[in-house]
Amino acid sequence: MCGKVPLQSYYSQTYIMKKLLIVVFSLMIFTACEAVPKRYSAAYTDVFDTVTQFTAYCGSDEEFEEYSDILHDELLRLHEIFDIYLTYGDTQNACMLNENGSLENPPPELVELIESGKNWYSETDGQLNIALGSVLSLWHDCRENAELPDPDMLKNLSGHCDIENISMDNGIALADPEMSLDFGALAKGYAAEKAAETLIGLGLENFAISCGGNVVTHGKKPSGSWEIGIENPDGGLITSVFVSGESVVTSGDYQRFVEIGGVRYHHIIDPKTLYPAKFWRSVTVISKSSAEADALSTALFCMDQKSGLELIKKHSAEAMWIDQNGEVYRSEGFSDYE
Amino acid sequence: MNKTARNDILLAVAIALAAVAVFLIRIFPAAPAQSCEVIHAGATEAVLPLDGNGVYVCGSVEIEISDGSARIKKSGCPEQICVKHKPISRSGEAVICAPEGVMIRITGEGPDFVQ
Repeated sequence: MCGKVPLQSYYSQTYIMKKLLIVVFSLMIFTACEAVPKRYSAAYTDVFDTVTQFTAYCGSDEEFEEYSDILHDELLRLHEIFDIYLTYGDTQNACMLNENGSLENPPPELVELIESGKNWYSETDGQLNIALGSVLSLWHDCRENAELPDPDMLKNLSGHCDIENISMDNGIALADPEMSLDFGALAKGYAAEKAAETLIGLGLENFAISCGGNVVTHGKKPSGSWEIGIENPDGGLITSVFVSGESVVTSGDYQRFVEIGGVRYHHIIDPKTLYPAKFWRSVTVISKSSAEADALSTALFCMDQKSGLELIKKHSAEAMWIDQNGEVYRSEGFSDYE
Repeated sequence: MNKTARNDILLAVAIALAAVAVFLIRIFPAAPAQSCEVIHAGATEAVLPLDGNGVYVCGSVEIEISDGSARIKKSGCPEQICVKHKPISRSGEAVICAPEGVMIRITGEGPDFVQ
């Protein structure tokens, strides 16, 4: 049955219909044609003796696999250069340097990392020392065997940790044949940053890399910033930080340790005491640079809060400390990320 | 407004709402339930729902899912570091058995990574 429609009403219905049709078709085209990036993840177990996780938003499986392969290859390349335990054919690496005492044509990344280590040594008054390799090696072996190192041996080895004995004038040379270098406080953060730069250069916009807990983020998720949970050393999460473009690194006494006679001996050695640092249970650092965040978290773990605050201020970083009683301390801008 | 025109408008509104719903679902997909992803030699070998119970075998590694958490129950590795690791249950947590090239990690709603 047809009814008579007043002219004004007819125009208004037509107007509404047109508007609605525009909206409907726009949304249909939008939902049908726009490639909404999908979340992808990969994990590698063969770099830096730890778990590396890679999460990214990509348009297709193939695109993600391509980025994942590039990231993995880059991390493997850097792992081989900084590895202090193994050599890899003709590659001049850290292990070869420690064994032979010199490298004639070291890779530029190794030179850069050692120069960075020297800078951190002077900035932290020796609390971050890449020349502590012989002491750290003894502790490593003792942890594996669940026994304490001989104090006399520790003291003896500490006489071979002078960073001034690293010469960079012609290649790299260690003047003290008993000394060895260890990049545990720097290598993962540096490598993650270099690998992230490679991905950014190739155009990947939204991704995060966690290299043994050293988290580098770039861009965002569709739902917002990347969420990094920070563990309470006694269990559970103490907080989460939300970042996009920053790196987050935590050093804690609960990550790698051995219990001997009911006492926990963790893996971060205070260069002054030669024993596991006792200032904090954990220190979390947020920084624009992954390499800096890695170095700062280890350095702050081995110093009091006042010294740590001065250091992070200089590097425009933020930090959160948890002490032996579970008390939590934050730098001024840390809570902006929570 | 006549009945036909009103029905046309209602139909258009319904289509518009459906389109909006599809759009929002694609932008904000529902968070998947928590799962334990088993990665072997760099590739995902299994995704085990955390709300189930059981043991999954990956080479010499046995992964146990129990009470909403996952752990490496047995491994042929020499140092047994992975076996000593506490069970994991929160998104972003992971345990690795490096000698066997096996990793388990929790995925789903929650932090992207835990440290």
